[in-house]
Amino acid sequence: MESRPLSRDDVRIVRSAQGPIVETDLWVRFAETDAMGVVYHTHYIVWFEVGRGAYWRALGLGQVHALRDAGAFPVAAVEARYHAPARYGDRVIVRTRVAEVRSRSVTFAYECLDQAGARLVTGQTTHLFLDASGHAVRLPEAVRRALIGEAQP
Amino acid sequence: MRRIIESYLRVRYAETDAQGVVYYANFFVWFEVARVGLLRALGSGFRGLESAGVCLAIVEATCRYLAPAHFDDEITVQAWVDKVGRTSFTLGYAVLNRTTGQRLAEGSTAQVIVTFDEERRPTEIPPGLRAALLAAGGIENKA
Repeated sequence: MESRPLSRDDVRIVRSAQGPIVETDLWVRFAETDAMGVVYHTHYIVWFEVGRGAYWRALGLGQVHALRDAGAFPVAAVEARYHAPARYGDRVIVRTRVAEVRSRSVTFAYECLDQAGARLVTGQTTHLFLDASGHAVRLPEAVRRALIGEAQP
Repeated sequence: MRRIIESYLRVRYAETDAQGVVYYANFFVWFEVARVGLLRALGSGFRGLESAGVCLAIVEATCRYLAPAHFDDEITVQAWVDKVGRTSFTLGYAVLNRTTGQRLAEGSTAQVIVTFDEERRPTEIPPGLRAALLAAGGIENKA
């Protein structure tokens, strides 16, 4: 955690009663659309990863690299609810926050919004932490503290 | 009695990630393979729906991951009909390693029948599909 900038140019941090929310933008690629003329539903789950990456980056790049070297955060569960479609060329805002931190898992919550702020998709992912040898272990203390906001992004 | 329809695939290298396993979002694409297989087995298929002037819009998707899949694994994806409503129905899925039988993931999708036009208006499940979904073990959802 040698560097924890308050914001990066592609990331906005919004304070909320539910803790910090990290926002990032993306533009819908044609490759993400399908024959129904809208974004294929699995791509929103990849966008959740974009949001989660932004969240980690908001904690500081040093943190991201330390995490990458320390082990892995495999996904144990995903949920997505689809409210309205995104289309080619739309600017989409992905908002990410930490919904729950347990001793061995963390749950992120996501909202994909259109430019006017209307909800397109909401969802969450739950992650375990694996050490370098691939065993599920307790979250490293520095990571846990960062996620519960004792060292807020 | 619940009918379980199986579809088969082999993991492509393109589906793996830097952790050496299948990237988790790809399981939802496999659910689609199984969903299309199930609709084909029930008679109408996606093409049949489109020629009836409707298509499916996913409104909810879930997945729980039990074990990873790896490049070149042979995979079985099972799909079954769970609940059948007026305009929507839910399907359940299980992903298995076809060689070992190990269960890798389980999940669900909820989909709404919408008009295959600009409006994409929710509309009743076509009677033929509805009958087939119920005959395959779907439980009528009166909510």
